[in-house]
Formats: sequence, C-alpha cells, structure tokens
Amino acid sequence: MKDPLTRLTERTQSLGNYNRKYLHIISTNIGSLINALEKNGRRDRVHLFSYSMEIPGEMDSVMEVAENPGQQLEFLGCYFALQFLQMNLRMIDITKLELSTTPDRFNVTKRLMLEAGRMFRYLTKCFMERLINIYQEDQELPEYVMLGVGTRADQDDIDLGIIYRGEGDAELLNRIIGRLSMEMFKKATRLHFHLSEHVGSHSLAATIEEYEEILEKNIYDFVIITEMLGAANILGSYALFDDFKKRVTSRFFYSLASKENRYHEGYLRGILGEINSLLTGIRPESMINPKDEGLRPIKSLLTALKLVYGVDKVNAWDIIDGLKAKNPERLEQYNDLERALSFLELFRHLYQIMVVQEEDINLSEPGIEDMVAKIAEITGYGKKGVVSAKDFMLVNYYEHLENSINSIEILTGDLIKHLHRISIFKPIFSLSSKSKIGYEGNLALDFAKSTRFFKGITYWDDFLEELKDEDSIFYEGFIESFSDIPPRLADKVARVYIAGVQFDPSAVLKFMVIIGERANNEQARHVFSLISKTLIKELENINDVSTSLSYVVNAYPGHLNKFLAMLDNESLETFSRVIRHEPALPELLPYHKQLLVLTELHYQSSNFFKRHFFQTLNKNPVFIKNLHQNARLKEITSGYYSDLTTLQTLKERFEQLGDYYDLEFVRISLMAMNGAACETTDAEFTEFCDNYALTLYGYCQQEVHLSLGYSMHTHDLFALYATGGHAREQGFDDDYDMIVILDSDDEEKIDYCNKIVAKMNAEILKRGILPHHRFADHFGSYTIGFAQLADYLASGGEDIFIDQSQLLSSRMLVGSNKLELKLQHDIIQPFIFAQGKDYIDYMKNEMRSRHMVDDEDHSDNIKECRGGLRDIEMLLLIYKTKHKVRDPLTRKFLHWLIKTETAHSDKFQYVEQHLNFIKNLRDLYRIKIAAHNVIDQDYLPPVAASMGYGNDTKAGDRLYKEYIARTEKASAIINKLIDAVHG
Amino acid sequence: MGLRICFRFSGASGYSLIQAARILAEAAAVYGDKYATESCSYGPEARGSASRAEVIVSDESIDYPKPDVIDYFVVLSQEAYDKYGQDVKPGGIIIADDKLSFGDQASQAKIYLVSLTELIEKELSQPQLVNIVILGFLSKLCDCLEEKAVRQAILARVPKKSEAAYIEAFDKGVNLELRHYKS
Repeated sequence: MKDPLTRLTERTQSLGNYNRKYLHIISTNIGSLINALEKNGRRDRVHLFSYSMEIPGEMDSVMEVAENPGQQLEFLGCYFALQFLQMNLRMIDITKLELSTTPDRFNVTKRLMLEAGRMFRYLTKCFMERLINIYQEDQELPEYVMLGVGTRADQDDIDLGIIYRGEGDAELLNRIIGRLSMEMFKKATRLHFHLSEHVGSHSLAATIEEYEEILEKNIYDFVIITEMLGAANILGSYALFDDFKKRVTSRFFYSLASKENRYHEGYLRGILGEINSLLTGIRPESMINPKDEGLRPIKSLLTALKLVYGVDKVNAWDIIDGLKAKNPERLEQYNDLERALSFLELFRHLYQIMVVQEEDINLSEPGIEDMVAKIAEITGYGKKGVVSAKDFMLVNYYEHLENSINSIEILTGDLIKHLHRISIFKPIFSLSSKSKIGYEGNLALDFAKSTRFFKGITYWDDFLEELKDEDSIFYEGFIESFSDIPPRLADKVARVYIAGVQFDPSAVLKFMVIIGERANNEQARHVFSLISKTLIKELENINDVSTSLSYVVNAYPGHLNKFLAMLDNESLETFSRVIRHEPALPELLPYHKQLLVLTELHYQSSNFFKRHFFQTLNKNPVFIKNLHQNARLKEITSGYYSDLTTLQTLKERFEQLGDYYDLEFVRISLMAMNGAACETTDAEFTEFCDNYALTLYGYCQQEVHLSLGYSMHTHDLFALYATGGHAREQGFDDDYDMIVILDSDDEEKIDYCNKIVAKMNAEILKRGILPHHRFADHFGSYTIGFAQLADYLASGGEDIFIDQSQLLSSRMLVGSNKLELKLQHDIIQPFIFAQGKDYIDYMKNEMRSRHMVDDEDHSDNIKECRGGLRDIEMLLLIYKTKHKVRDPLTRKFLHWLIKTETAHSDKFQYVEQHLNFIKNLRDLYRIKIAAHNVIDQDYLPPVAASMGYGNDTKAGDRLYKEYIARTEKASAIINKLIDAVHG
Repeated sequence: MGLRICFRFSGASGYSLIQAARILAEAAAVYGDKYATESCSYGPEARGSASRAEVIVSDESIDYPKPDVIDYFVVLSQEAYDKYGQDVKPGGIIIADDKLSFGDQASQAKIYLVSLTELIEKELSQPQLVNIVILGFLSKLCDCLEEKAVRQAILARVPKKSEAAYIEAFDKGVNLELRHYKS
C-alpha cells in the first residue's frame, strides 16, 4: 500500500505545477511534524492527509508540539501546504460532482466560487494570525487592521492594505509585516501591498491621516481607491476599520445632501476611462484572459455603481444583489453580469489551480488546449454532436463576454447621465443652453483649473459632448475664452487639456478632432494649432508612444485619421518620427503597422489622393485597419460593390457606389505606393472605373425614370464612350473624357438621355473628377447624333485632328455592337482612316510645333515634353491610322505593334519600357506630391523611394537624372518611328 | 552585515518580467537556503506603462521588502530605463535590450546588451520565454543564485507540457554570451 504522502503526491498531478512548491515544503518537514505530533500524543487530533474542518485548532496543536519558534514556522508551513493542496483537490472534486448533476449551473457556479473564496481566506487568515503571534512574541503591537483588498479566491497573490492608528510602535508593526510577507511568500502565497506602497512613507502600513492627506491633494490613483472600496477586514481592529470607512472611503459614495461630490465624480471618471481602456484591449487571436476581458470591467463597473446607489458591500455577488434591489429596472443587465461573473470566476479559478497561476491563457501553447478541455469536462460540459466539450465551453465564454459587454454599455450610459447631473462642472456646462447668461468667468481657464483635482483621469466624454453639440454655444465660448488667455499662460493651459495622453491618447485625440472639425474661423484654427503643437511636443517626450497609439488605431481609427488630416506638415513629420519605434508587445505589431501606413499616407501624399482617402476612411474606418493588406482591401471593396444590389433606395446605392470608387482609388494608390507595376495598377484602375461608370449609368437611368415618372427605351440607340486617359486604360486621371452618342433625332429621347448624362456628371464630380464632353460645347448637348458628328467632321477646321483623335481613341462602355459598327462605318472610316494622310500630317505638324517651343519650359512636363506621354499617345494614334486599327490605345495595341512592325520592334519595345517608367513616375507623383504634369525635382524623394531608388537624400536626384536620360532617348526613337510613317 | 542583493526587473508587460522576478525569489527562498522577498508595482492605467518587480535575496531575515539601491537591473524598455535606471548602484549590473539608449549613469554600471529581436525571431518559440533566457544568464552571473534551484522554481511556475521549452530557454540563457555596452 502506498504511503499517504505518495498518494497525495499522485493526486496532485491533477493540479498545476505550482503544487511542487507545496510538496517540497511538505516533504521537507512532514517527517519531523509527524514525529512531534506522535511524541505529544496529538497525531489523531490533526488532519494531515485529509481536508480539515477544524483548521484553527489543528494549527494550534501543530504549533504546540514544536520545540522552538523556528520549528513552529516549519510545522505551520507544512500544515498549511497540506491543507492548501487538499482544499484545491476538494474544489475540483466538488465542482465535478455538482456541475455534472445539477440543472441549475448558474447558482451552483456562484455557490462554488463563494465557497472557494471563503475557504482560501479562512485558511490564510488562520495561518497569518499565527505567524504574527510567533513574530510578536510578548511585544505590544499598535492598533492595526489588515484588510483584504482583492478577490478572495485569488491564490496567486493576496492583496492587502494595512492601516494603523498612528500610536505605538509602528516600526515593530512594519517589521512584523515584513517578516509575515517573507514567510507567506516562502510557504503560502505572495502578499501584495499595492495600497500601502502608495500611501505613507517607506512603510507597509499607513495611518488614516496619511490616506486623508493624499486624497485632499487630488483624486490620485483610482486603482488604489478601488482597492480601498473593496476592503474587507481579515485581522485586527474592527473599530479602526469602521473609522477608516467613515473618514476615507465614505467620501466616494454619492450623497444627495452634499453640495458637491467631487471625490465621487473623480472616481467615476477614472473608472469609466479604465473600462473604456479594458474594452478596447488587444490580444493575440489564440489568447484569452478572463480577468482583463471580463472580470475587471465587470468589477470596475460594479464598484462605480455601488457608489451611485449606496450599496455598502465588497463582494461582487453581494453588490449585484444590492443593485438589483435598489435599481430594479436594470435587473436584466445585472443578471447578465452575475452570470458572466460566476462563469468567468470559476473558469479562471480552475485554470489557475489546475494549469498555471497566470492570467493570459494561450490556447496555442503546448498542452494548454488539453487542460482547457479537462476544465470543460470538470465543469460538466459534454460533447454535443460535432462540437467538443472544450469548444462548447469556449463558445459559452464568448457568449458571457458579449452579454456582459452589452450590459456594461447600458449601465455605463446610466453612469454618464448620473455624472452629468452631479458634475462639479455643471456651472460651466450650463453655458450649453442657448442663453449666454449663466457663465461669467473664463470658461477654458476655469475648466482647466477644475480638472487639476482629476489629474491622470481620461474620461471626459461629457465635456466633449458639450463641445460637439452644434446647438450649443459652448464651443464658441471655449474658443473665445481660450483666445483671451495671455500667450504665456496659453501654453500651460493647453498642457492641461492634453494631460493624460500618456495613459490613453484617445480622449485627447477626440478632443482635438472636435476642436479642429468645428474650427471655421481664424480664432478657432489658432486654438487648434496651439493645442495640437503642444500635443505633438508632448508625444515626443512620451516613451513607447507607439504602444498607446497602436491601441488607438485599433479602437478609434476614424478619430486618428481625422486628427492626422488636420495636422500641418511639420507636425505630421514629427508625429511620423515619434511612432517609428516598434511596440514591445508582439500582438500590437499589426496595429503598429497600420499606424505607420496611415501616418505615412497623411504625411506623404498629395491632396489629389487625400481627397479620396480622407472621405473614404472617415466613412469606413475598417479600411484603416487593413491599409497594409491589399488583398483584404480588395475583398472589402468587392463586398461593397456586390452589396449594392441589396440596398433599398437609389440614394443609398449612389452613396455606396461613390464609396466603392473612393475605396478602390485608395486601394490601387496603395498598391502603386508599395511598388506595384503600373501595368497592374492601370488594369485594376480601369476595371473598377468601368464598373463604376456602367453601374452609375444604370442608376442615373433609374433616377431619371423616377423623376419623370416614365421610362424611355434607348436600347441600341444610346452609346457611352470613354476617351482620353480612361479609354487608354490609364489610371489616376483627374478628369473623365466621355463621348455620348444617341442615334436618334427624337427631341424627347435626346432630352431624356441628356438628363441621364447630367446626373452622371453630377455624381462623377462628387468624386472630385471633372467630366469632360468635348462635343457638348460645340453642339450644346451632351448627346450627339451620327449625322451631327459627320457634318462637324466634314466641315474641317484648325483643330479637327483633336476631335478625330478623341474618336479614334474612344472605348465603348455602354452600348451595342451595332452602334459601335455604325461609329466605325459612318465616322471613323470616312473621316479618319479615309483621310489618314491628312490626319497623320496634322499630327506630325502638331508634334513638331509643340517641340519647337523652348525645351526648357517643357522638359519637366511629363506629359508634354519630348518623349513624354503626349508623344507616345500621338505616336500610337499615327500607327493606328496607318494600320486602320479600331482597338483602343492600350498596351495591347503596343504589343501588337511590336509583333507587327518587325522592322521597328526594338524601338517599340523601348517605347513600352519608357511608357511604364514615366507612367509609374507620373502616378506616384500624382499620389504622393500633386496631380500636376510638371514634376519638381525637390519633391521627388518620396516618389523615388516607392520606385526603388532608396530612401537617401540623393534618391530623388538619381530618379530625375534617369527621367531626363530616358525621355531624351525615347524622344529620338519616337521621332524615328514617326518619320517612318508617310502621311 | 551579510549578503543582500537587490534585483529589479522592468519593461513592457509582454515579456513576463514579473514572472521572472517571482521565479528568482522562489528559487532563493523556497528551493535555496536564502531569505527572499518579491514585490511588484504597476500603474493605474490598464495598459501601456512599464511594469516593475523587485527581489531582495539575503542570508538574513528581511524586515522591509523594498530595495534602496539596485545591484542587478533587467530592463527591456526605454521608458523603464529612464524611470528606474538611476537607482542602479555604481558598479551594478544592467541587462538591457540592445535597442535602448543610456544616459550618464551608464558609465558607472556594467551593461550587458541582449538582442530581444534576435532572440524572439531566431531562438525562441514564444516571446514570453525571453524572461527565462534572462534568468539563465542571471543565474550564471550571480553567485547568490543556484542554477538547480532556479530550474526547480521555473518548473513550478509553468504549465505541464511546456516544461521542456522553458528549460531549453533557461539553458540558452546560461550559455548566452552577451556583449558589453561601451559609451
């Protein structure tokens, strides 16, 4: 038969490895303890290898058989270790038994956790009481009370607060607590004195007066206050604890009778900020953390609510019972919180006693999933169909989290309303009424002064709501009063408004966005500029600002985007510099990447790009989170496009179609910035533009139909052609050339089609793109007929070759094959191909006369310079006419020429390479610098970086040099190719 | 006066430095024959700030568990170094991430540089094992720590089935050659 210690050791295999510490203590001392007990005839009075119901008496017996204080410590530690392990083994057995048989899981779970807390507190209290007696010997301790300020069932550490009266031998008390702490660490559980460490000087205990003194200065640290508010007496003077509650913690409870409740308010603000932070936390996908994800926000909220409703309890379940009684209209929310609390506490407790005493549960770590499966089994989960017990429990885990978050949001809303009613800022906020009567001081300065008491607190949503309210004059009052502050003081006041940014920048960013968004006069813009510069300067002084801003980009991408959009270039440059350092937490790295990309886009992009980018990202913050993943962006934009058919109204469809355009524009711009070849970006750009134009035409047709009350058949008679850059499948143009043909003289039909095109123009304009209808000026109508067009072309004219070129390069977007054939037969063939010699001569002359203008004026013009885009376009039009080819002027045609013009293949190959080079340069210049054709050498470095020329200061010069060399060579080749065509 | 060595661990929470401190203290007090205390501190904010843990190892009973000067400082973030670095005594030892920059007091301490990025990317299966590697290095460096006791303490604080990975990380630390910082 196995001896009891071996049996115990085997049984503890179901516990986590922490049991090794206790087994080590037991194995070191059990022999001498048993001998001493037997020697004194006490062996049968002490439960060593079974759970005891008489712990205090047995501890006393163990102490009595020891020969000296040193042995007393060893025997007590051994007894504690035995009872501690058996307590945990018993907990597992009871949980397994009760949860596998009960239909009432919730109440059993709650009872089990209350029992786990009670048992652990009882065992540790008995142990500590005796340790103090040993250390105290015959000396008299000052009046003190030891308070438990954490969760009772936590075995990882015991959070304590120790208060003493201030009379007697404080040194002795500190010395004894120090020794207690050391012995508890060695034999039992670590003691944690967070409360005492922050109050009083160089001491583990503090007096009530020291607490009062620190709280008089400011609200201080709300973690400490939460601990104070959750304090329960473990050992010592009840009278002292009562005094502590009256003089220290009672001030945090809301009092209707009090003139002001600033302690109460300060704590609520602190805890609301903390809840916000906890709910926006980031964790790796494989990681769960019941404490941070659920228990901390729930308990923080409960503490805040107990202060509002006057529930003088410390245990979370007791607080909920009190809240249910005092605030029954939120019964449903309290029930949800209670269920989540019970589930999460039990799950966490079992994980800590069966696996490891850590809060983060990494499901991808070896063996952890198996242990979680074991917990599922113990807590009564079974396999259901294909769902394993473990998965079933994890689904429950997330359900409880979701329910609790929903309830937290509702109850937080109640807290905010309460805060608004009782705030000491109420006189300042009263300015929000439309009457200007009610506030005579300097609003901005007075608010800043009042916030001193709330140092470090990040919850100011009520203040922000007031600022944001457009029906209020609060914003104007704030700006005016801020502007009245003398300049030397203004910096200091600005610093007050950005205080707390090191803890949680989101509140400050929200504030900045409101100030900036509503700044519609010089005074307000000046205030924004002053505070934003102070903020940027402060960010430079904060270490690891990347970490806190990575959280912001995850939780509030829209705010960050708006804020960045409001900054001037100098501030953006500083901002992009301070966020370069990678955050330490690996799970933040993807968010840091998003932050870098977003900032880079603001810092180094043109207004042309920002026009799309800004409106897109404000409406679709999800896009910000995926800026670094183009494939994911593509999925999102495709989703937007597919989703159009599910929208009910045309208004919604127009809006979403516009979003689709902007999103695709941004996505493809990002591709270009990341070095994608322009052949790829051009193809993708053309695809979405064509989707957009086709769909837009359909919606505009429906809109006209609805507005007129009737529809008109235009099938086979209507054609919409893209011409210019869009027809050439060239991305990133800021205009949209179109030709609209209607093969009918019916005035009603012409009017109907003009209305459709006018509507299209209006929508295209919303995208910041200029629609051009070359023939509209001449004919006074967007739509033109074949006969009109033929007459016009037949009439000749100085610039007719431009119109011919537009027609020749056109690409059909809407219309039938029949109409396209008619265009070829009635217009292109007779008026272009049949007059090919004249057309080619015109084109050659045009090129020559353009080149005769001083070269210096044109060399930096990527479109008009020798060897520029215009030359290539004209070259292709000339060859198109030569070969009488109708296909659009795309790369496909250029490839065809390389194959067909065998004598000039190498030249056309160079033209293609050159086209890609200058097209790439032009696109990036448009996206990063400005939508200009004239490039400025000084601005080329960011373009050069995207084109692979490096990040050094000379990269722009290298790119420019290559641009000049390539265009010169291309110009010579193009001239040769044109000379080879005879008109 | 007998032996009294003070350790401080500080850095971002991802590297479980508080766990390292506790293992070190348990190695000395539970599995070794020393007295030890461990205390940790963290700010009110839920995230973003440097955590800090301190351990005192002594061959005498420790009445007050707060160190006055630091003998060994393990620091993995700039914020932590700037905040707590000045407490390192002259001649003390700093083990720091090689990305940190050091101020004036650096010249009075001996600084070992550890490349966290390299460790995480090339050597370790999990980033949180960084603390265990550092414990291995500390065990080699510091006479008051017994390697065997540190191993026992590590095993008592890790999940079953992860034991091998932790011991492997510890051995890496024991064999680690760290370069010195020269100002």
